[in-house]
Amino acid sequence: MAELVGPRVYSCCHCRNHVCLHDDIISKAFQGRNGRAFLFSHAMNISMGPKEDRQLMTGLHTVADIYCRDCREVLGWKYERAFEESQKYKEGKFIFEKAKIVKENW
Amino acid sequence: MRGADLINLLLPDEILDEVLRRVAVSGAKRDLDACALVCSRWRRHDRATRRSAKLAASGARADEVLRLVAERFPALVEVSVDERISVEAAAAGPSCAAARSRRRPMYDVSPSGRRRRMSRSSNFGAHMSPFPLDQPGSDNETERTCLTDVGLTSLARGCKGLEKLSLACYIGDPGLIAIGEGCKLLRNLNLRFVEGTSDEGLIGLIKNCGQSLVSLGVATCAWMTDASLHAVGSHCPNLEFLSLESDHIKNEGVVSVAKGCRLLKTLKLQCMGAGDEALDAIGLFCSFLESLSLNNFEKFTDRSLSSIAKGCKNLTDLILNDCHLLTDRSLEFVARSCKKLARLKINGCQNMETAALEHIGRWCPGLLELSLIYCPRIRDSAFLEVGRGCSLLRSLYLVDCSRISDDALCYIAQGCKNLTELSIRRGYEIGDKALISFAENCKSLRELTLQFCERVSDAGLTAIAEGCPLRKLNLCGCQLITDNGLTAIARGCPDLVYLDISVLRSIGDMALAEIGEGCSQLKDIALSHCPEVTDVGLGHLVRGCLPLQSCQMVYCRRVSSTGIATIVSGCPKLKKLLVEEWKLQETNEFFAPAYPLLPSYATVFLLLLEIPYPLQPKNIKLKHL
Repeated sequence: MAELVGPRVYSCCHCRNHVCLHDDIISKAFQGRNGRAFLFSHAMNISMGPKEDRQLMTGLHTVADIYCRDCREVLGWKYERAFEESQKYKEGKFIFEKAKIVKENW
Repeated sequence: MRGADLINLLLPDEILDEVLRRVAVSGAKRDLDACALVCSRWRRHDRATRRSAKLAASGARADEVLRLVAERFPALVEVSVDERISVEAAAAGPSCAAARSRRRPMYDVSPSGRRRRMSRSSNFGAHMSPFPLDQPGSDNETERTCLTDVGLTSLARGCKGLEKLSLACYIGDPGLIAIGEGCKLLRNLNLRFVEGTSDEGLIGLIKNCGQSLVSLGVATCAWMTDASLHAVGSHCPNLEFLSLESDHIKNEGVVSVAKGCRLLKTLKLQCMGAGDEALDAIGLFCSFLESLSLNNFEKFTDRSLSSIAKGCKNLTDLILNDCHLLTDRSLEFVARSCKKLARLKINGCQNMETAALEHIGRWCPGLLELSLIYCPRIRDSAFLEVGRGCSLLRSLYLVDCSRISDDALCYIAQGCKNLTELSIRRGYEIGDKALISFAENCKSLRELTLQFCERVSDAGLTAIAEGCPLRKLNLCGCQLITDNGLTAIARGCPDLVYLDISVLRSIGDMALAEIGEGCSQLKDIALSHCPEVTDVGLGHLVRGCLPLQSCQMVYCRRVSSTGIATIVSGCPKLKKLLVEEWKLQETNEFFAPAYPLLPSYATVFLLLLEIPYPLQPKNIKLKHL
């Protein structure tokens, strides 16, 4: 019965460290380096890399890669700044690539 | 009398040599080549006195070219052999006289008016089809497509006075050993991307010319192990400069170098396999060390820097990149012992906190340059000490130090009045108060970079414009800046040479017009990602800034092909233009007439519009026109 109760958690694909919750998903329509990616409002147990200014399909952004804290696997990135008005909603939010996270028993 | 050569007959040899020497020192290689074409006497003198050459390592004739160069230019002192340069395959024609190639012009001028980029191997290499091809000693029929040891051996035998050698190519051990045997005066050796050799080759070279070697640099040579370093330690007592980038080097290698090369002044290490013992040895034995640079050093702790601090009292430059295990205590040791510290750069040492800088401020009054990159734990109070103690500070460089605010910079401004260069990237807490303080206190400020500092606005910029005679200004991403701020800059800084106003959403044509009027010395401008700039503004800019050499304007959606044509036709000195390719293709009728006006050595970089995510360098296509 324990599997049916409680928050739906995603884990790192390598070390099964809990990194984000299904309820924090804002959008599923993002494109990562190798496939689909989701936009989350919160993340846990991750560490951030140095900030970089990248030209993405939607414009210029300042992003920082996020790593699983235990196994240092790159899971996605965090938007620090967006330089177009229509993209400002992404600031402070996290992208996790679908290929790098797995559902934890649900 | 027309057509008679009056001076050349009277000119003594020594004067001619002196003239050629001065051309070599001050002019481009092109000028020296031109001198060599004047007459056979001048060519003889040029050959006898030419000191430096860049030679190709790719191409089937590379060996022959090197042999000829070594025979004809025996006075070469500095040679660089690079596999990125290629000897173009000349047509094999045994009957063509060598004389014909002498009269051929140096460069082909293609119809578009642009000089075809010739291989930079010796002047004669690419055109010299008809030299007698004596086959080299080896008999195997393998296809030679690049330089081999035979070529290097001939270089070693011919240029006995070689002092500086730089290799970036695929060669073998015999080649290196030949260099060692032939060039006994070798002082500088630089190996980069060298493959095909092993420790044997380098050890052979060092055994032969180690006594004269003063500088050694090895990078991206995966074969190098501690064995080579043992040889360096045993045979190079006069070594002063050592730069090593290798994954196989361990502590023992560095310890041997430390014991053997006591005169070491500059050390750059990027070795993941070495740790504290290596630096203990350096600290113990190399007391003349002045410059230390440690990159990606994951294994060493505060103990290393304490040894360095105890032993190397002459340290002036310290660079620490990605050294995660270091804490504030390291810098305390260094600050207290190395009183001559002048340049300090800390990049990504995330465990360094405020105390580290406080020690530097208290104990290093001679500090000239300070760079802090990605140090998120350093706080404002650290700069209070730096401002009080380091009054000679000339250059401050801060990237991603997210806790630094205006107060910190005010301490610096009030204390370091000699500041000439200030660079802050992503200082989200920095605002106008800091800029006003710099404008009041630091009248020698020449270069200001404020990238992505979002709180900086026109008020701060106006203060700077009035107070500091800037030569370089970079405001990329400071979103609050408007045309008014830039107008103030244009009127207050007439000596501006470099200006970057990219990613500024609110600036428009008025700013460009003011800059065109006010900054007549401008050579370099970047205005990418400025959506409000149009062709009209570009026209005003070009009218005023005649010395413009470089212009970057990608993602300016209101700039069209007409604007590009204006720039190209209006700037006689334009060398570099970064713009989307489709903006050029669209308007052949506008662009084509202007294009021949581009100086023949200009390079136009074009950026493809479809940029897939993420922006990787391989996705950008850069074309030379």
